[in-house]
Amino acid sequence: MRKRVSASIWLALVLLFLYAPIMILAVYSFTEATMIGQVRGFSLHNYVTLFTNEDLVAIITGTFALALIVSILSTILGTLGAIGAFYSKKRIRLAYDLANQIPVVNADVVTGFSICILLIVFLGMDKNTYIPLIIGQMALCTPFVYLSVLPRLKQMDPRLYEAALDLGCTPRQALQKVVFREVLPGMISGFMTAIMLSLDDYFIATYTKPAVFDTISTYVVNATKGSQTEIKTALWALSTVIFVVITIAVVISNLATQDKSKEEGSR
Amino acid sequence: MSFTRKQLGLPYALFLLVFVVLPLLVVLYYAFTNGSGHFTLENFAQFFTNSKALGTLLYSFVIAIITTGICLLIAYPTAYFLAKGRIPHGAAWLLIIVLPMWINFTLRLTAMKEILSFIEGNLAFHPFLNTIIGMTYDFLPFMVLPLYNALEKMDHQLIDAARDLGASDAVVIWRVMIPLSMPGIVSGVTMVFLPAMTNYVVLDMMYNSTYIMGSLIGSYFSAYNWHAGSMISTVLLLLIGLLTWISKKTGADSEEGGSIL
Amino acid sequence: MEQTNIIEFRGIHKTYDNSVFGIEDFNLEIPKGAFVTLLGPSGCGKTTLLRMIGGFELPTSGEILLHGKNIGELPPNKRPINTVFQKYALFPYMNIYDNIAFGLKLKKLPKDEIDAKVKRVLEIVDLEGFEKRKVSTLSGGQQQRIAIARAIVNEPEILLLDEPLGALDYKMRREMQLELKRMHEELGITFIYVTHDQEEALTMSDLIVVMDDGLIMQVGSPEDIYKRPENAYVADFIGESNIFTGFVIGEHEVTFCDTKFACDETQEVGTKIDAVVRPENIHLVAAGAGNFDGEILSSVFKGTFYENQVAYGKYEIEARSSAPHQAGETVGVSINPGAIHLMAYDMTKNHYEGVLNAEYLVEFEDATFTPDVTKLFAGSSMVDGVLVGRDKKPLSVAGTKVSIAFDSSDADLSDVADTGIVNGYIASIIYKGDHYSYTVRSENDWDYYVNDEDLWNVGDYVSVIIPADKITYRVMR
Repeated sequence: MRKRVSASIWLALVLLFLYAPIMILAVYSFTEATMIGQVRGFSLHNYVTLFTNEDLVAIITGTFALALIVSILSTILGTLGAIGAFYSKKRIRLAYDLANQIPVVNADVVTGFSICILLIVFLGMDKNTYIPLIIGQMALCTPFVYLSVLPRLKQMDPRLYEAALDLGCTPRQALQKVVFREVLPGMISGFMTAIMLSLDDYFIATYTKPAVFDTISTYVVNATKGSQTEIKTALWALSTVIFVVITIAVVISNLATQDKSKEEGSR
Repeated sequence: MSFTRKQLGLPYALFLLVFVVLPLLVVLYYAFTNGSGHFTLENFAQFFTNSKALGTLLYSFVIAIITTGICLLIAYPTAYFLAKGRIPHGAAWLLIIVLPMWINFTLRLTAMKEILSFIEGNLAFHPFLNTIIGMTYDFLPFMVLPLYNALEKMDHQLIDAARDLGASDAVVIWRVMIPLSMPGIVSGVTMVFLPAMTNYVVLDMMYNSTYIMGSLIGSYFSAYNWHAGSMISTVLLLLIGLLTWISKKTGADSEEGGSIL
Repeated sequence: MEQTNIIEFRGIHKTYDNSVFGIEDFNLEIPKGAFVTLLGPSGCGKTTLLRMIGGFELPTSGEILLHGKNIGELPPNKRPINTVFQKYALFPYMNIYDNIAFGLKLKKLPKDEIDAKVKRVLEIVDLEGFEKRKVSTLSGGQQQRIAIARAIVNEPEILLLDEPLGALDYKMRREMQLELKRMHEELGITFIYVTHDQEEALTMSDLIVVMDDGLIMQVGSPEDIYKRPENAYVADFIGESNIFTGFVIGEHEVTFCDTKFACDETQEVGTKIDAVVRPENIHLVAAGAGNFDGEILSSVFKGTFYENQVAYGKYEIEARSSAPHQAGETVGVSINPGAIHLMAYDMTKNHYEGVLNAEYLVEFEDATFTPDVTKLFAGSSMVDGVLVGRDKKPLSVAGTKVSIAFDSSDADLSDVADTGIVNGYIASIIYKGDHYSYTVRSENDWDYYVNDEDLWNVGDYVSVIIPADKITYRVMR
């Protein structure tokens, strides 16, 4: 019992460390305060700024649009890659695994810089086409899709594919109806990871983005260097909004899976 | 029949070659050439003979070692409590610990920065301390996750067996638990150590003007000095290679970090 | 009516790049409508054969004929054959209806026809009304039935079953065996069944193909296989059996266990034989009343009978009885002439077991052999007189059991002692037309079979010579 209590206290402290800043900021985002510690009245002006300031709106939509494009492309590329690697000879699969591991272990600074060197410096590609940015983030995200799809293929009963052929599928139909269906959970979790990585990315964006385009990361880093308090406090509102949205999404998805398992368990 | 299945991987194989392997080769090329394209070791010589540059390397190591150590000290008991049922609904609590990762790290750092400014009055008073706090805040979930996975897989009977054979708590921790969770420790350390050496945004945001290795790449990038930037990247790549080799040696499962959710 | 064959294997070979398992010159005819079981231990090639019929693997060479036409290259989806897979391979994200209708939908049958077929097939497998259920909510036995339903709903000409009962518990397995037999009779299609379980094979099959190491050991009805095994392998694999080596000494008269027995079967006088006697056919009687007297070593209750180990000299005999016996008790052992089945003793090959020592020599009671150890362990090599593995680390191989084998025709006899690997007395001679087949018995009571053109006499003291390159060694599992 005592062990349990001390474990709970430990967990509470860790959560306090992780959540206190976000929570305190969330509270202050609903006031007119420009600094923590100031006591000012309730206000929604940060939220108004967040959704009306043209710069901010452009940045937020741009960041999410980029994340979506990158994640969709990464999910397709990584899934096909994992399937191709899985059905290749062992040596070829090891080559895939090795190359795939490079961006995973590499520092993001180096990944971003190396993409920049190749595409922009060496090949002279125009940053304004957004192609270096998209490719750069794909290089970061796709390996994680590959890594979440591959275990699904390994776990898959190889006889499922054969059963589909046995029942009259052509190899292509069997791939569609069985293999893709089997790796779907891996694709989804890979897609989510890709979204998260893209939203979180600062370094690759910095080295490959068009000068006129900003993501939330690059914007925040530049904004904090200045002292524009209106934008600064609007960012508090942004982090609060993201947090609330994510929390709701996680709760809903968990309830959904719980319902499912309950339904299965009760029979 | 199996021909078509293998072929599906070709686009990604091509992508890996062109956008993952080739950039590194180009970086190597730039690192070993000068402005006129001739082979040279000058870039490296300048770095390794410059006390300021070596100081940066040392400072990066100090930051990374301290951050990694603190993350490990906080994350290990947390992961253990969650994985081994000391706290009910461990998986749900893990999700809650990981949840802040969805908020962009710059926004999270902004939050931490505001809190620290309030507590300390002025951030500039404690740049080193604030950097460590900022990095720990940023990277802690990346340490908890692989540790949780490793500890969850651990067979609790082994601990019972050790106790049954007369092992004290300390012996159980040192001789049984830590060796068994080594893959998780190694994978967590690699997830934290390198970012801590290179993520200069944390320093920037905490008003720490001292450089780490990542800052050098950033400043060479701003100065269009591709050769020196490539040289730093090469040094970092060597370090990454070394770390990966060590983690392979200790038997970490490379696929552990596969899905963050 | 002449029985027609639905499937014929003609000279099938299958080799793998990185495996010793394979199939060599396999020939078999499977009659239409039969329940055929491929029976053998894992790695014997039975599953490979099944997968070749299904189209999941291609033979390296040879032909598989379906109705006399080669289907070697035809992909699985083009074959009128369906499979019940190991562990069922039901699609986990589809309900029962969708699983069963999978093949029918691909054939683009109208919806009502599919519904009717699914309903009917669920009746056959006794799971009416399960259409909307999820796979994960079914028990192993129910999933098994659905897997069968999913295959037979396509009305295949042949149903392949790959160890389908392996994952079920004993009672369920017994039930499903009878169920499968009933379905086979009801459907009238050919069943080809793969298993390593002899009881399953005996219960269900019309025809059993016993396999080992990619070769057919015997093809026959369950009764044939059980009562008249053709070789020691089959006798040993199917059921419990006592196998004694002996000789035919007269018309319907054999000797084994140092005892003469009358025997219903017979072979040419002087032939070396393996006599098979099932434990249930050995009767324990009062001391002195049987063929010989033995001593009970142990008597274990097995439910419907007692299993007794009886010692007689150096022989050990397994016998069943309805009453218990005491260890140490002397009993008479009685074997009826009808209970003894004679099999020709394979004298073309010599097999011995040795143990590798630290000097990389194989020690055997009679002799010491010098194999090329690098060939025994894949990827190994000799460095400075030490055997190392692929990683260049020394291998510790001392104590490894190694089988030693050579053909009788590769051996020679010499009357100069110690010129060969072993000396011994000639124990028997069989004239084989153009040569004599000798049995040489060593001091340690090991027999060596040697084909020689020269005539020797029983009792001659000879040395057995085998060229080093004619001896094959194999590491034993």
